[in-house]
Amino acid sequence: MAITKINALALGSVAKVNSLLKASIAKINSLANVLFADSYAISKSINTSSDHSIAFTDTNDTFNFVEDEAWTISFWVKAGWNSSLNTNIHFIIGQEAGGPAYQLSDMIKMMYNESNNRLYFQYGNKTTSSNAKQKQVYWLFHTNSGSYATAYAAAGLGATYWSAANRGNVGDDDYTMITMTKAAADDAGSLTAYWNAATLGTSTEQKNEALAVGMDATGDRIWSLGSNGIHSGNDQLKCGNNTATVYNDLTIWNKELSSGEVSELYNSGTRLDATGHSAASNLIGYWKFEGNANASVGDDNFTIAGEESAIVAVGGGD
Amino acid sequence: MNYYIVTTEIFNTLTKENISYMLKSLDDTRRLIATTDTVSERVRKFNNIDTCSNYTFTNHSDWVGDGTGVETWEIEEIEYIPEIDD
Repeated sequence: MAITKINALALGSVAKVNSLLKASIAKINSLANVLFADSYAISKSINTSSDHSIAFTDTNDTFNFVEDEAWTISFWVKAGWNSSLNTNIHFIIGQEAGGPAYQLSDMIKMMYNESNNRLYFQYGNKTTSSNAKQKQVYWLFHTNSGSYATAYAAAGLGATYWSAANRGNVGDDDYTMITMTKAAADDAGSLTAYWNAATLGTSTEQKNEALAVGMDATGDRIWSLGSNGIHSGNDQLKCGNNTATVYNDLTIWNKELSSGEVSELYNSGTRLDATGHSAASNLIGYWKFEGNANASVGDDNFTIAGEESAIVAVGGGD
Repeated sequence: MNYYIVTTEIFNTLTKENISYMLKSLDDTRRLIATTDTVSERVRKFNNIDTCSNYTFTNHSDWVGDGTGVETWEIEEIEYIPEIDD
């Protein structure tokens, strides 16, 4: 009887301490978010060539995901292109450094295809065009029927293509949070897309090319923001047109974030300090662009080449 | 695979299921296509995917708005969907 009484008292005390701890942690988290500065973003020049790139070379394999691993890449983007682009704009691409000219070598990429109003996610290791080692998915936004309806609703672009004149559903400061998650399975179906944390549903196409992907887990990769990276010596193309596109708060995670975790990151449209996210232990790369392009998590700082690409006020880029 | 530039009028007569790539010109009067069919009424025929891509870089003002061109991987990867026809 006596032991039971002590146990009950002890349990009560633990519960009290637990609730006190939870309240303290919540208070610290909310304080951290209040202190989180979100005053700047990074503007990618529409000029091409490596003289105008935003890129880093990952030499210690931090982001060398391969085909049977899970990952998540998320960023905020404020569209700067207009409807006369009629080509692609690369959001982010990681690819083999010093590899073959074909741009799909050891590659992970997120790209908007303006000529068809589609969002493409791809990974693979194609060193030539006949080298069938790629997984690819895409979603289109302008058709409100059948399997296309989910993406149509999530983007809110209507029947008009995505551009600076039509940004669809946006969060604070007219930014859209685009998120790619990948489950561990080596399959195009393992890729999921979110527009402001709203799922785009089943992709329009899931392309699983015939050969084993075989991405290299150890070679250096170059990660480029806002351009297609290295290609045929004529590098850093596909940056957009009209006015510069502005990017903010890029995060890379070594897990497939759940839809709930993507919603937490979206935070109802207000960017938060991702280091306070419930999955922060899986956050391996974080660039806030608050005054520079250095990493807040990880050690890979972006280099901003030239003067046209620059850190700008978060409300800039209209 | 065959690579052509055709007018929009001719494009509308082609078998869409055999077309794997299509890009409208900026003025919307022509189509750059990759198709398994042979098209006799064309504006231009290309020997292969590389000459097709190179042509768009030389004549980019007709085709793309960023001063570049259509890269070979774009012709291979950006699939034409007949039911959407965009």
